[in-house]
Amino acid sequence: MGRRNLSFLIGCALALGCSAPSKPAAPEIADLTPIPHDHPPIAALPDPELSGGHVGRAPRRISVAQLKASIQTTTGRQWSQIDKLAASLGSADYALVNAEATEPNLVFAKFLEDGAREVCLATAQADLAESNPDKRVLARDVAGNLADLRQLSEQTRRDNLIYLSTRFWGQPLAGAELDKWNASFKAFAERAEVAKKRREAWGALCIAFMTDPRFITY
Amino acid sequence: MSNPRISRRNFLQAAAGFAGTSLLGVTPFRAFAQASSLAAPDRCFVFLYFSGGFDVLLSLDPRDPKVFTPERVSETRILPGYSLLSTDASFPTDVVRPQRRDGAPEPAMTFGPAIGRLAEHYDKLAVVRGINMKTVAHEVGFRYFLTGKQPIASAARGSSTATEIVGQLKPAVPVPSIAYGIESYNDRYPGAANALRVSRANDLILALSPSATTLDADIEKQLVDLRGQSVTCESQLYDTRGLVSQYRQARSQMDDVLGSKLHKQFQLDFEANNAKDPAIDQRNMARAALRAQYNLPATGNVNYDSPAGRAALIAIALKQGISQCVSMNLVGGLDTHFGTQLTHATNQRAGWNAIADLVDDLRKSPHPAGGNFLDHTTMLAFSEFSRTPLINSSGGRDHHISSSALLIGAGIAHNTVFGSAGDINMAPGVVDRKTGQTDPSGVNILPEDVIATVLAAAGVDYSITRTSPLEGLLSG
Amino acid sequence: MRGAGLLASSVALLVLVPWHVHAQASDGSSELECPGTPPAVPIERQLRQLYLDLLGRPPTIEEYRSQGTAAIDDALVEELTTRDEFYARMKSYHRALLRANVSASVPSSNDARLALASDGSKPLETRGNFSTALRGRNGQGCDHFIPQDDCKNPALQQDPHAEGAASAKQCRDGSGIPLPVSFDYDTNVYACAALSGASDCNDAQSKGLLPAKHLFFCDMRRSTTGLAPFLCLPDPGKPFTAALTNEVADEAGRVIAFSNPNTTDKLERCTLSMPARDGVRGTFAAQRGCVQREGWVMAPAPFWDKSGALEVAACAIEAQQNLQNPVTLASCEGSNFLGDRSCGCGERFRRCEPGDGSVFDARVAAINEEPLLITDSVLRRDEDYAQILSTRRSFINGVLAALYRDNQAPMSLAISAPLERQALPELPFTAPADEWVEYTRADHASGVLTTPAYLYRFPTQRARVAQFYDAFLCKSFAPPAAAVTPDPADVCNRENNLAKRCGCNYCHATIEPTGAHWGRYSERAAQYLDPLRFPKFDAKCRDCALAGNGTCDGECGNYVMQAYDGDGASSLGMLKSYLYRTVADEPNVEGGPQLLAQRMLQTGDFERCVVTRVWREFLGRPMSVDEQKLYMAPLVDGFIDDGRNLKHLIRDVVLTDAYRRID
Repeated sequence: MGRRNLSFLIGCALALGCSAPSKPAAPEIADLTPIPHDHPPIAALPDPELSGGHVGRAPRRISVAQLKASIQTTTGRQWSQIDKLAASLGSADYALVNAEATEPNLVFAKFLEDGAREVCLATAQADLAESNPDKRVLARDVAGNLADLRQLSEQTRRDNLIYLSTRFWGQPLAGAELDKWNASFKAFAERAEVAKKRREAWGALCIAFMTDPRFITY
Repeated sequence: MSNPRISRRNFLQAAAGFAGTSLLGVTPFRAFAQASSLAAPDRCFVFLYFSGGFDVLLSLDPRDPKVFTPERVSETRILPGYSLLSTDASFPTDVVRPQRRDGAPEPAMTFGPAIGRLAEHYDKLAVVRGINMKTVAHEVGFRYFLTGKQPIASAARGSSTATEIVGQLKPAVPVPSIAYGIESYNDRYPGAANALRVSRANDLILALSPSATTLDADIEKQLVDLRGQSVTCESQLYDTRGLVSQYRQARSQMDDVLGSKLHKQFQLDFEANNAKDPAIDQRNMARAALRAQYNLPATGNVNYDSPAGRAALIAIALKQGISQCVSMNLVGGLDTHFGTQLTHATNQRAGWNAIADLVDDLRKSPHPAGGNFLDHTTMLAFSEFSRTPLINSSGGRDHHISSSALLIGAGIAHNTVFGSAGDINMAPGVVDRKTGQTDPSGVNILPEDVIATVLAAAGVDYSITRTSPLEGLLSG
Repeated sequence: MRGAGLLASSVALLVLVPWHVHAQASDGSSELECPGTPPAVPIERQLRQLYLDLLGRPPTIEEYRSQGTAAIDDALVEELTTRDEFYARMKSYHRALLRANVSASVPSSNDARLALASDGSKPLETRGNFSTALRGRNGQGCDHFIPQDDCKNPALQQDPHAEGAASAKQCRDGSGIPLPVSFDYDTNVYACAALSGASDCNDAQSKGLLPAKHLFFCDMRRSTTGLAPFLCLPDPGKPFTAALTNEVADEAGRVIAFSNPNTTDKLERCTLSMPARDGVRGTFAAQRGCVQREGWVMAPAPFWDKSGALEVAACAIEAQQNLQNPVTLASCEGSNFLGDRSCGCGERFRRCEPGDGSVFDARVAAINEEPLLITDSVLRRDEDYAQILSTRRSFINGVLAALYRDNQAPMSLAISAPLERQALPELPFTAPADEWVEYTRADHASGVLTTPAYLYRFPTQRARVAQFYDAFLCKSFAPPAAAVTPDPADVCNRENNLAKRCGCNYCHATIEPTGAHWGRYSERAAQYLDPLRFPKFDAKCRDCALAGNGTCDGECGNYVMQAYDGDGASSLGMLKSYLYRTVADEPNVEGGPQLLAQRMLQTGDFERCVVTRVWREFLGRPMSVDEQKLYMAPLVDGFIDDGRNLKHLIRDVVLTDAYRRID
């Protein structure tokens, strides 16, 4: 290929929209029979367009029984009103109500908020009295006794937030979101120490975790 | 007392204007002021569900016991059984013919003995008879009537009618739809159209009350800020079917609602008023009037979960401008395969009496837009199916595919009977859709026809029912 | 492992769209656009999903940490399905499937409940509707102050002026039935005015407060301060009693009755005698307008008593233990035992219950639990899942053992003992309610289909069929879209046989013969109708029916006693389950639910339904049509090849790629 051709081709390649001067080849009819192979059979996922765009699991709100177990597992204590409010939270008794309702509606949100407040403040209170970090529920990453929260290091706060997000959600905080939660934690700590309500700092954090959608969906 | 109407948009904007102020602990001045300026929407709806399958011979579709005698049973397959109620003198043993009301036309309908006081309001009622429910399974029949669409197996399709209404009309009220002891479905409208769904009255009050536990005001504010910031891609991972958005919307609705202190409106217990606050005085007087209207005890505790208590809750929700639609499981204990006729009649009558008190209350209460509340409210009373016209070998009645329904109030042709169940075994009627008269070349009345009629009565789009309303039931 | 076959990695087939989230973003912008593909579900989140689905709770922080970043594999899933929490979770699944809660289906009558009196000797007494027949008024207990067998003690006599000499009183009749020891005038009929200032009736007469002729209508009534005299006369405010203006007097001029001058209505003075009802010896009718109380006795402590007391005070009627009326020989084991004065609550009050409802609640809880234990045992032992419909194995606790063994609660529960009494495990009532013993029921038992929970929760044969089809075959009964609605005036609406009636036969042609499988289980109860005691045809019942005796003295409740058509007429005297059944259907009745289960297992619907339900349970949504084409056959085949092992099916489903995606 001559230098002129080459430079033309290069120029062509660099310029947009130019076509090669050569004649286009006649299109061949493609062979449509599949080529035999010995890959293992692939059980395909269904075509999402036929399934309404969904091929996987539908996210759901946790049922009342799962909520009860979740509160117990994540905080170690139970909400006193959960049995009384179970019916309005959506629980089915199978005598008169035969279907469990799992929509995250206003009533559920409100009662969850009430429950989170009760349980979280009680847990925070218990934590304050516990000197062994491994026995605490919320403040696991703070060494020694829980003293002035403003003294906590950046790293301690971040570690504790990652721990709490794993404990409550199974989804560790990271990146920009972790920064935001860290900033809020600092703000809670500041205010709590000024107002001498140390348990409310941890309590508010716990409430935020428990009423986040990641706690009630799976 | 005329109050300027506050649109929902203004309501939200004003509330949001207090950026960061939590409505859970601290009540901002503006939100409180708005609580006193709630206004009733122009059109209200009440859906009243009689749970278990009601016996229409005892109420909406009676038969003359002198014509349908026990001797003719093999021919008619109908046994009204009114004489079995004779042990309780308060039940008439014959078909009830309402007394003519002053200023109203002659009654065009008759009722069965369990209709109670509701017969007095015949001039605002329309009875639909001979509806083909196409099922005799409890959940299927109930969900069919609730949504106006035939369920698939027993799974409901579409939205409940109440959700359709608030979804389309978007009323400017804090809690557009309340569902009490009843299911609620929403398949196409945003979260704002969801019903506030509770199973007991105390839970309704609790859902509207501020939380008992409050934090330091600044910490509350910071908590609100944190929540506002936590809408991130990671947290929305589970929103593929709108679940997370629904939850967030519910939370924001919750904040709006709690700021209005609506729980005080629903509490029928009297408030202490040592400071002689005139607002509390007014509320207490309203409570006393309500108790009297619904035959609830004048002092002491009220059993909200009786039919009368539930009717009182409906009245509060509508008249105080709290809701536009209330769907209520009014009375149960009707699935009497084995019970006596008297048990069933007593239970049914409690429901009809409660409705009568509600209708009476709404007729007496002036509506801000003119006329009385009943002129602005449409009610539908229904059940999942009715009961067999023949009494079974255990003294009860089994499920029957042909049912009746009752329409009350605005947009409905009053003092009207539409459709009929046949005189042999009360089979579903074949009628002319326009007039409701028996017509051999006509069609069955189906639940979706009744729902379309309810929607059309208020000018709401009824195309979701895939049918047209029954013209003979609409007024004007 | 079959699951691996479905562990596809065909991500390429997934259509990728930019992932829009419509929400208020944290920076205030109105729409949050999230870049590229949705982030993969983190391993912790997958673990949480798995734990919540299999164990009903999220993982603890220690469990998160021990999983680390390791992928979720077969071994983990297998381990989780062996935990107790998994079995508890599967119990909830089956509770929903079977709707195992009879609390709204079992009558909770107060009539047989014993309330504790609060004064005198504080005896146990029934105060329900039956008190009218026993003592003259609803809600009436016995006399708390007079011991039944000390009724001749003059110091204890309440109305000596009217009762006569104490020594002449009879405490019990010839058969030992307790007779009234005191009476009062019923204020529903009489108006009683206090005679204040007098200590008793004779004193009142001597002070001029009481006219001499009304001596017998002076009533000593008890209040918290003791006995005081009252004058009781027919209530002028009630129409019936106001008309009784005529006073009938004895030779001494004392009024002994009030009568209506125009009719034969009469109210006689109250005494301690109880004449026979309708003249039948062995029955007792309370006098009209009178409350007649028997006394109290010490009786062996009730079966529910956990305080260790050997004896308690009880009303004399309730304390009796007769098995039948000694004179009329009517059985006391029926549901109306309290209507007969001679029956009583039986040995250790076995026919009755404590007033707080605790025994009723314990029974309902035990009934609810039984089918769940059956399904639990099938799961734990890795048995064929279809066994839940056919196994004879069941579990019993102290509450149920006592119920069957001692013939308890005839008024509220009608449950046949699942096995002969001698063969039942020996568990006392007071054994802990959560202590369950395995046992094998009689031949006709069939998995959960014959448990009281199923029979009570679905009280009619049609309901039992509808539930069976819905729960185990995933089919429901609805008329086809092209169903022809008959004209309401058409005489075909008269057809009594629903399997043939126009408009109904679309569904009932199947429902009626299938319902016959439960033909030997009565409706509204959990009674097994043993073919030896309840033959297909009973001549005595037919004869009663033809003679117009509809109930045949209460013995033919399960037989056809009325006819509405020709078929019915030729079925008089037959067991109700055989009414309208063709010759082809009749084996269904004798075959029972076992036969139905066997038949249905041959169609393949059961396996498909199990797969559908398990898929729905864990994926949170039904299978789409496309997914059915792809997954149904392999999952069903795998389920069957594995011996219908439900745990393996669950493992297969949670290891699919579809389960791991969230969308």
